[in-house]
Amino acid sequence: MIKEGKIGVQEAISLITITIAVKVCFTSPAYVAAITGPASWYMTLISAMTAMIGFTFLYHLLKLFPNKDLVQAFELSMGRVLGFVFTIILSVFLLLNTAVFVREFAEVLKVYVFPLTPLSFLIIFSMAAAAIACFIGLESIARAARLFAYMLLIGFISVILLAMPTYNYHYLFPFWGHGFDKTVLIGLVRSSFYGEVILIGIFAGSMQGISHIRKTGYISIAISGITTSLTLLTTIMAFNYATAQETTSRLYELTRIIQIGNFLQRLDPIFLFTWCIGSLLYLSIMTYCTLTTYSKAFRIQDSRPLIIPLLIIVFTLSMLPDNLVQVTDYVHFLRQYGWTIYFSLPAIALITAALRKKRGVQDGA
Amino acid sequence: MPGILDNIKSLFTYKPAAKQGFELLEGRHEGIDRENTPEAHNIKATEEDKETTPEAGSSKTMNDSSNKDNDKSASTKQKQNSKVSNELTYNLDKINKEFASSYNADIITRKFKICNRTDSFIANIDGMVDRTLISDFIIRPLMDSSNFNEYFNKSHLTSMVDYINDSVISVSELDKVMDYDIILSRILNGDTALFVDGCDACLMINTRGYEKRSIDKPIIENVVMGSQEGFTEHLRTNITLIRKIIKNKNLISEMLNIGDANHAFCAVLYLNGIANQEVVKEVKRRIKSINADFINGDGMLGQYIEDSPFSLFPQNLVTERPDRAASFLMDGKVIIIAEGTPFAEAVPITFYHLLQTSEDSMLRWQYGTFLRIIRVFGLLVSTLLPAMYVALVMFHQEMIPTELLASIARTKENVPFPTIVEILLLEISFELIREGGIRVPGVIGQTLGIIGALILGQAAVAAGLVSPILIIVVAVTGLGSFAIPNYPLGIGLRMIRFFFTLMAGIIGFYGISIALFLVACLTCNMKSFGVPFLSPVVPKSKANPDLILRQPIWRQDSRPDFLNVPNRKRQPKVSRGWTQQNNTEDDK
Amino acid sequence: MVRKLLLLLLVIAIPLTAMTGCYDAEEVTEWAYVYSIGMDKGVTDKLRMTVQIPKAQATSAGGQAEGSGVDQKSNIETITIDCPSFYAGVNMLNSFVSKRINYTHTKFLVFSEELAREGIDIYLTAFLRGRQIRRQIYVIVSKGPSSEFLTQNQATLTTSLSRKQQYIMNQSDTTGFYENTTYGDMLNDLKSPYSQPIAVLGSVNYGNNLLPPDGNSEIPFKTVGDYYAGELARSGGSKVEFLGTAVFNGGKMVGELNGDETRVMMMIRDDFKRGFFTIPDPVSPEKAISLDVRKQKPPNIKIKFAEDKVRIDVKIFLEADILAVQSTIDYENKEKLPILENAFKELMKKQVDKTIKKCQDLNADVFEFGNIAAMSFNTVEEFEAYNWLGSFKDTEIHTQVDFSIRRTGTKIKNYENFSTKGKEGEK
Repeated sequence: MIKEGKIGVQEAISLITITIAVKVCFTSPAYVAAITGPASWYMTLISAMTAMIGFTFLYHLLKLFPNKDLVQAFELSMGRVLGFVFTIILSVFLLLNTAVFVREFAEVLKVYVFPLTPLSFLIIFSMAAAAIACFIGLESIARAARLFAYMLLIGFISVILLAMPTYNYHYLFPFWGHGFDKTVLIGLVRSSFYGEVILIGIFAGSMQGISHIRKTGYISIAISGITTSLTLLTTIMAFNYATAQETTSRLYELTRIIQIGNFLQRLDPIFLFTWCIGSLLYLSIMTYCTLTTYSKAFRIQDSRPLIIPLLIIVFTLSMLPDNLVQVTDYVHFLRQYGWTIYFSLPAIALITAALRKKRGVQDGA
Repeated sequence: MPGILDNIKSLFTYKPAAKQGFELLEGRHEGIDRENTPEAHNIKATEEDKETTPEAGSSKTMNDSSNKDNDKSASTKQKQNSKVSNELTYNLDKINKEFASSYNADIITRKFKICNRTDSFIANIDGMVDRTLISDFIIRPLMDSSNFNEYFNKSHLTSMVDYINDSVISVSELDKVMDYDIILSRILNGDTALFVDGCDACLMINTRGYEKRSIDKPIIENVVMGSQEGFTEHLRTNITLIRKIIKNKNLISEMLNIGDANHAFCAVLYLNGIANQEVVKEVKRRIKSINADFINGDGMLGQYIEDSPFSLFPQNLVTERPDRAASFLMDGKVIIIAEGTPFAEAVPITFYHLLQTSEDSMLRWQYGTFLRIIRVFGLLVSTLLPAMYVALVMFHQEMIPTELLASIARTKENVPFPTIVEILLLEISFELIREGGIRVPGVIGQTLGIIGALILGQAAVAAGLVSPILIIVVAVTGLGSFAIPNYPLGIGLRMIRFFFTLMAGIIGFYGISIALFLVACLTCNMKSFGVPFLSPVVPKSKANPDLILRQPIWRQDSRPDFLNVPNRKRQPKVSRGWTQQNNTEDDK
Repeated sequence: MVRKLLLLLLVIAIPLTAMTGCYDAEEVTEWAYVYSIGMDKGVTDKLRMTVQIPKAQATSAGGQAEGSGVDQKSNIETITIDCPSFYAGVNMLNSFVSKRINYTHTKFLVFSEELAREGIDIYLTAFLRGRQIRRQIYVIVSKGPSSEFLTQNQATLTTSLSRKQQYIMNQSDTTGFYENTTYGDMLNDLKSPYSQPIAVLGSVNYGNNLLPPDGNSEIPFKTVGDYYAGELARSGGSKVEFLGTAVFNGGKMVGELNGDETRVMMMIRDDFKRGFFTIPDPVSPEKAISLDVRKQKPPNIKIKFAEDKVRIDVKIFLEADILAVQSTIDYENKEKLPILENAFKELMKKQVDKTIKKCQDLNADVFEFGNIAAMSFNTVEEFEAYNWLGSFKDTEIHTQVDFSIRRTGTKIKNYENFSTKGKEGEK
């Protein structure tokens, strides 16, 4: 049995924040710059607020069934069959997310850092590390996330600060981007960027109480919203909206233009640590959650033998697209429609549970 | 001259076949795993048994006579002959048989008459007893008739042994024992056994007087400002050193037996009311359940009781200094001292304790913090520096300043090896130098340190084997590992450094991140006696004012949270009363 | 169990050791680090590319490098090749360069003026995709062929060419004669409607401008920056010279600015840090006064959009220390100081107006007025539709210079000279 253990608030916050925020290092900011221009930084704040509303559904659902996690809540509120279907949908969606992410990560790494290394080499390494972390258990992943959280935060802040000489605040204008209505619409739809907050529900059994879950959800969405917005803000200031939509990875380009004096220049490999460790944490926790939702749906007690097959499936899926352009298509698809899975599944379950007046038993009853 | 002739002669003359040399072949009794050590196949005793007269009917406590066959299993024999008998000859024979004294030269039995009347003998092991004590304080008073005047007046009231115990022998530790197991083990520990004819109890007198090392400076944990006393191999001395520092009546030391064949002792120390009883119980449970042959010292004992034997970091802290052990006791930890090595073990610990020394508490908080930061830096450097160098030079050359890159390229033109081979070569040579330097005697050992390594490195550069910047990298790595105060942790990190270097060679900074991530996950998984290894950072507990950055000593008012001690307050919030007093008051 | 674990560790460790140095791992000695790239119009092919690669020197047995003893010129290898495009040239170079070409340490990207006038946007947008090309490369337009420029680009004062290149670009902060624009800046300006790209103007100066004395006693008083690159009358020192700016419209070079005009442009762009100015003494015009002028605060630029007219008000703030006064007029005096300030203000305003007019004639908004203009637009579509860059020539620009003298150096009063004529002084 993979050890579940108990997780504290700080560990859960670090885990979820890193999971959400690491996606900003890759290709989605460039797409956002194309469709919203200089307004991308407050578009993402709108997304964060929408995600908080979406999280409220999840929170209330978990509140109805204390000490149970999301899979059990689905089953209890909607019955076995429908709950099973929802769980499998969630599990498959997480699997797709993992595969697309690992491919995107390996592609961006290949573009900027390791042009000659074959893709499968990079993917195998990441997945092997994620699989080993899965074997060790959720508690250790959460603790490692807490351990690395400050280091990643300091790395991120130092990028932002070091690149300050290149900022030109005039590039933030025209302020409304391509139109305020468009910005709001895109913001609402792209709230699936923060959809990984549903992971709290999946390991809600390890959290120590519903108030912890609430705190974790809101604080992690807030922190990741601030970091994403800060990234988009600073990269628009460093490159104007025209150049920013051309770059493959905005944050990495920001690290590439850091130059202070004669000594501090070409510092981008140091920030590899930040994004690689963040990505490894993302992969570990997503693989783990895919595994546990699948196992809980089929009532499998010990999911350890499933780790290696899951690794192979993810690897195969991630090698399916031909090039980065197709991968970005998949990424945009997931971002556009991810909110249906992330936020509306718990919402449907909540409404169903409220209608059927189902309530969870308290511990000890 | 004659020898040579003999040798030449022997070449040509006939000699009968020479006997074969000694070879260790398999016998009949080999290869069978027994639970207990079997009774020694006492060849000579069988002959003796046939000579001594049986004492069959002399005592009711004996069931089988002592001339039973020696091939019987040990347990039945122990059950049957485990009590002291009234007959002196029986006891003497038993002692001689148990210790095989006909050919074991260490056991000494001395027969004498108490008060010129009663037969008695003492048995002890030569070399482990203090002969002056025996002669002056045991044999002399016993031989002196004037001590026994009172006895013969009331000989019906007390037995001889009780009288001797109460009034005659003036040694400070004296015990009345009737069990042969205890008698034998205590004789082996250096006590003297006094058997009196007609009494079914034996007196065990503490006469330990073996040679032991005096209290010396600690060898591996040197400090500049701090006490210079270190533990020794003797258990009693070690416990005394701790008791000298903590003069608290609640300091409990419990003795446990370890080692089935070498019968060593280990002491478990804790402060009653401060240590968590669960931890104490767990420690005792683990130690008592060890079934091992030979345990000598804390190193071996620690390996038997640790949580994850396959992890790379130690889960118990081994220290040579009594002041450090005392500070751990005050924190609420449990100290285990096993005799045989001059170390004491502290459990449960976290990773950050491995980076602290006792000097940090002696110095002011600024200096303590500064030294700790240097140590953390040394830790990072010793683990990551070769890996970073390999990754930079092989994969990420853009990060190197252009002028430095030009000079590296220039010096590397001479070197035929790829970077990985260079660095592995230098690292392994450095490890060899370190290991060899421990064993090189005397004066040469001092100089064969870093300086010697650097000079060797310089020679290697001149020969064109390695590039000069690599010498600096390896030397700084070595210096960093010397800065780590805990020796097992230092070795563990030296081993992990190779893993990091290999991962860096495979895929640069990405490989180092993967390695860091895996090591972090594995370390977060470790527990040391129930306490997660990286507390209080993960999982979060109350902030410890003494973790890496040290707060002033008057602010450290509570014990570490993760130990869950019953009494958490160390000192009140305002521990320096003089700051609150009105300093214009006159002393009256 | 332990044997299995050890076996597992061996199984992991041995392939790990064998996998080191795969794929992207290249030793430092396997790369040829290019320090500068030059692009010309090719003769037999579309492009003529020049690269400068450092040569590894032969070292003594002790592994010490002999920096000072080696002839500087043989340190760098300059290669020119005709090729269809940049990356084709990279591959073609490897037919005779033994190491792999690596551009991560490149500092200079030089285009010849001929190529620049035809349009370099095709090149700028093209090789950005390579991960080795960084946005910090300095872009230079050379007034002759760039192969000649790079051949003369050698380190004279320092041993390392890369250090020289870095330091000479740093001098833009000291003098303001050229702006050290980088590749990233040019790209930003090319792709956006905010402003037009600029590049550093460089040229080879063979020292022919330093004419021998010809007995002419009437020597004209030029302002300090009234030169373009390559025109300085000097001899000695490195043969490449940087002075002035190349002005672009989109990707095509349309004009040049000389040193003075570049300073004005940098003042309005808020990039000017300091520079020495020399003005004729207002009271005795054949003597000169030198001032060390600095930026006081960022310029105040206001743009007002009327129905069909756009009005821009520019006010630049400068301050200065007096460096040298050749006459004996006591400018430290309270009454005399404003004379000096006003004289400088007028001269500066004339210069600013001249520069702005020149750029308006070229219809090139190199002053980044578009940045301020964007603040008045609501959406990107509106701003792009307005075509700010095209309508720059019709804008009405009013300028103002604010100036004050802060310090007068180690002299606090200027007394008269004495000679046989008695007290010589101008009152």
